[in-house]
Amino acid sequence: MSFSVVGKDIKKVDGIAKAKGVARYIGDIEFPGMLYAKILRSPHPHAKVLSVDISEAEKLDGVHAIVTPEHQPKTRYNMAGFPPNAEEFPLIEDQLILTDHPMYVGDPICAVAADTEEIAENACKLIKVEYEILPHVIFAEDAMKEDAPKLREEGNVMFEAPIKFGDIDAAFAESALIVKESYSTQKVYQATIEPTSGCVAMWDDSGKLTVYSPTQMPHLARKIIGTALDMRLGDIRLIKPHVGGGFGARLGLVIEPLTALLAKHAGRPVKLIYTREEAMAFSEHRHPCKMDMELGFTKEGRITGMRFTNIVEGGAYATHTPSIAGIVGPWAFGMYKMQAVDYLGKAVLTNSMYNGAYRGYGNPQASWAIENTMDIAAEKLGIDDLEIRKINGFGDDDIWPWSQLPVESSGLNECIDKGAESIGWHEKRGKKLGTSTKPRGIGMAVSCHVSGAKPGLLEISGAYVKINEDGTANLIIGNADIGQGSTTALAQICAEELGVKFEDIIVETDAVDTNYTLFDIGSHASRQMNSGGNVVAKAAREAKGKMLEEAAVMLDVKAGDLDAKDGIIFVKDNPTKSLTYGEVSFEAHFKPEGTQIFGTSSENPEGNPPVYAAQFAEVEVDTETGVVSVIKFVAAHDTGVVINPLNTTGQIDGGAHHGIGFALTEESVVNPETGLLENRDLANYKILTAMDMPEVVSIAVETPAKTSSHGQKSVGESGLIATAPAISNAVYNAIGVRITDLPITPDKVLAALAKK
Amino acid sequence: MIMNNSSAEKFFFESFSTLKETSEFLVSKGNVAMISAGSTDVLVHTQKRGFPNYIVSLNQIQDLNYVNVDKNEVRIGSLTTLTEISESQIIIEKFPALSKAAGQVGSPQIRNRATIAGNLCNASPAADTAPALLVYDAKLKIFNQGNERIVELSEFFVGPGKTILENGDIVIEIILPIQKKSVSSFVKIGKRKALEISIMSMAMSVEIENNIIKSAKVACGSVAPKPVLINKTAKSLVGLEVKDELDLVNAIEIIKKEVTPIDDIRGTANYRLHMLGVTLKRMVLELVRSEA
Amino acid sequence: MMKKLNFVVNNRKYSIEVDPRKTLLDVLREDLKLTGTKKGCGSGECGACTVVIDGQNVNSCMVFALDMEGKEVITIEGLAPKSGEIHPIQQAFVDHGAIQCGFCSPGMIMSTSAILEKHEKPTEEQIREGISGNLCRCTGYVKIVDAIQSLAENK
Repeated sequence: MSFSVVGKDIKKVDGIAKAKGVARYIGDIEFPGMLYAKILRSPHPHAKVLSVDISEAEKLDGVHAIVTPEHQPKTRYNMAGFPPNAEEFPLIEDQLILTDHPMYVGDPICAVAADTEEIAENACKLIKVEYEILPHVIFAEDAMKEDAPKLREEGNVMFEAPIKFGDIDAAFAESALIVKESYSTQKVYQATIEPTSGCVAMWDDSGKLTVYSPTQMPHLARKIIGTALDMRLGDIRLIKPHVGGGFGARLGLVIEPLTALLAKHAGRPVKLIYTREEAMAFSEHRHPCKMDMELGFTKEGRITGMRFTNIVEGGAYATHTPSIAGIVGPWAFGMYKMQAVDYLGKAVLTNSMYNGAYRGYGNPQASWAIENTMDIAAEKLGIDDLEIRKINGFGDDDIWPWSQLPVESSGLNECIDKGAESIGWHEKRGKKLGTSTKPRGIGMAVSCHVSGAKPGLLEISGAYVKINEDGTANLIIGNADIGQGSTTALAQICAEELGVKFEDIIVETDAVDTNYTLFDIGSHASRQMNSGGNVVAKAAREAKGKMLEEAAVMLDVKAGDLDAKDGIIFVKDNPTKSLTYGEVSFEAHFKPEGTQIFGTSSENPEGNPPVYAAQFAEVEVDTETGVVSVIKFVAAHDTGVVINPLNTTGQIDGGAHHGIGFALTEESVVNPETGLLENRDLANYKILTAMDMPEVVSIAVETPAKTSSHGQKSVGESGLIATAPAISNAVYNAIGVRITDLPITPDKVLAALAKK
Repeated sequence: MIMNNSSAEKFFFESFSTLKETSEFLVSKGNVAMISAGSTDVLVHTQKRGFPNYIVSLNQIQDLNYVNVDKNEVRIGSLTTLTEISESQIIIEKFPALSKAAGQVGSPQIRNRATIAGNLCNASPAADTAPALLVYDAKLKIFNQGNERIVELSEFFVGPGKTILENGDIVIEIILPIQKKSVSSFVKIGKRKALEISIMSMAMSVEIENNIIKSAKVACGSVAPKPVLINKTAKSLVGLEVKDELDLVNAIEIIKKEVTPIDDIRGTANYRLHMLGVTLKRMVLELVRSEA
Repeated sequence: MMKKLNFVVNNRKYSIEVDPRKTLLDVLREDLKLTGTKKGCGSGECGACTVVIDGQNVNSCMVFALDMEGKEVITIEGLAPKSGEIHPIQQAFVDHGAIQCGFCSPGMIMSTSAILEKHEKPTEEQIREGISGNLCRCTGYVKIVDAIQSLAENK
């Protein structure tokens, strides 16, 4: 199939505004009379508030409102932004805007709105809070002990997700090899360069609320704000400005209900912006997981079955933790065919800041366990690493167990082959590379991610295409472009389907407004190209159909005889007989009893084509210092038909950056006594600089999906997933020792080498 | 946005065009005043601990930014930035460890503002330029109300954030005696290649003849409450004929006993001790080979 | 005590009263309403607030505003000569896909401007070192390095 706009390197529609510094982010938004807010937080990991005295704080000049737990609705809510399919996992609603029973160091007790942030901060210091300190527990293993303090009446394990199919005992009995290993992954931080989060809220005299929120999910954010504030959703208008990076950190509320509550009490617009320290210490990070995996194999290398247990450290509130506990298992058995599975995920409450969504959503944890295990098995069975993955992969006609929907198309083998060629697998693997103190090795791992959340979530997207009098078109979508370029790509789909030039599509990436856009569950689960693409294509096709009908009357032909390209509607058999989009739309508007032409679509996508990837790393290990350096990194991804090549490889490059950091340098360190994050600045949380990043080669393998509008799949998360195990497998290849607890730090490498 | 226990009414930012006025002002205000030059450490300090009553900026004082060389010594003005030091041809040639150390502080943006004297006066145990300056026998010229005195850098640091500086003291120059026969190097160990505070750093200056070490100075950062000269280890190197790493086994044992680093957010004591040994070995071998 | 500050930003002279505790970043964003310069950390660890002073890139959060007395500052708003125009560095970033979320972009572009001022034709190593104080979480720096290399080649 040949396209005229899809597949082209169209520049991002908001690129120039961002390059020139005129793009407005939440911190740049100001209104007359605006107040600034600060939060008073619990200094204790677990306590009861006995009394709050705000009398001194209220006297401070410039203080306009102070809210305490008394001032809030009593409806509990869940910060996580998704409408779960209730059959899949529960949505535990356990949180209030402010609390008199703090569950972690940092739990908000009160908040102040004042003329300046400084006054608000000083007022917080004047609020007197009396606490009764309660026993606390910081780590999941401790919280699961019998004598642990109980954080909920029901116990500290808030949710268990057992998933079983087939006969695991029989599968293992038939196995020629069972590999058993324990793994752990660390807590890590999304590290959006715009600190997460900020909010501006204001009320009008009729009781309607407007919220500016840098969210990944404008409509779902509005829904949760409605729950937290006991409001009708129609009375809440949420506007998403430009967003300085998401990666899951904005897949849920952070401070929107609190800002709105303060604005209501102050009667003025209120702005609350987290400092970097707050953004690090008091926003959701990736869940640390402790995993035990047993994987059975035939002697030919086919997987027979998997036993897998996973303890997920959730923190003080439920948010995403039950769904993470539920999904890590399916990520693992969604990668390879297996007859029998016995998975148990446990979601555990502790007294630390709660964890949440982060690019990959449990898949990096699953991939760490299963892809290290595959490497161990390949060596024991004497099978090539590439081969053992190919023989266990799913085919185009298989049902993918993650979604219970068809695989549609698998580019896994092509990803493996192209990646292997780029890294020089066949020339280098098995050879002694590097020097005696700096041996080199190569390794690989594969992954499979989603093009959406279906059926785990009920996922609607919506699009509205209106043709203006001059033939230009507005594409109006309610999803959130958070920098990935999804809106640019969706506008390409729109132009392609309308048959107009890209420049004739007008679309905004900022000011996504719930008052004027159709419902959309947001930018997460890598879903925009599949689900968003589906509705944009359908809305555009509807509008185009109406345009062709209008033109048919004007040209005195049948609509079926017409087509459109580059803004020209022409007779297929006689292309010189034509009208412009502008001429036709003008006629539609201004003929007697005219009408504007538009198209709309709101629906769930038909499928959820899995996205396969193969990642390859060449590493050098300094055996005297324990330092692992990635020399070259190759990421081959089955993206389906590429809508925008630059944006697609850009997503993979960025995923590799997160993944290499996850593998080697990044770790959110929690104080064992208080649960507070120790390294709450960017000097001590180590995201890689330009000098640390190796050469990255991103390869798109275009195996068309069957159900998406143009054969595209999604690519927002997959770059991260298999990165850490690829590096681990390369480290093993270099030095013959395997680090099973992330990150692979120099002291762990040295300790493992010493034991060798 | 401004935070932390301060108010605009009680805070004063002063700058004078002469050293004398600056020093006299500092004396008149006592310990509620803080000197600022590049401000890259001062502003981190004010964020964490709040503002002092007075910040006294040195930025209106002329002529404290230079690298001058004469027959026996190189003199560096206290306000010379770390970028200027790392790119100075004289320093690259005569004091390569200092050039390397200055070039690895923070980031280009930090090095473009941060000054050599600021890096020392902040008295961080991790100050990158300190070990290099220590092995070069650096001296500091200190001004106080019109008087000048010279102190050895090795006697300058007292503890974390603490120096021998007294009220009204302003470091105005760093003096480096030119050591004609020595070779030297610097290594900073961190988790990243930029934006790092060191886990451990080491500078070394040695004289080598026919593989035999004739004299040696070794200094380290981030292994003690202040940047320190590692004298016992240095002494153990003197007289040693170094052909390969086996010749350094004893020195490695000594250095691991000579300092007692601690565990912190950046690294464990054990890793620091291990890296002291590895770095010492590699640096001696590198310098011996460079002279061979 | 508020204090007078005279300085030049983007070729325009300013004479303003500032709170002496304020950093250059605070004054640019809050007093001059030049919000193109972003605040990512406030402690010199991310580079989002990078501006150019005397041809050198500097974290504006690490500078007292009052230390800018008599100085000339260029911010992202001052890079292109006129509004409606786009500077070649900005264009290269857009063309090479070097911009994703855009929050690091103003600082990254100002560091690029300093790199190109310092080196006639920077090597990849000089480029990576030159932007090592600017963290980006979207691009893995791949397309940013591409964009800067294209500028070096076209010089």
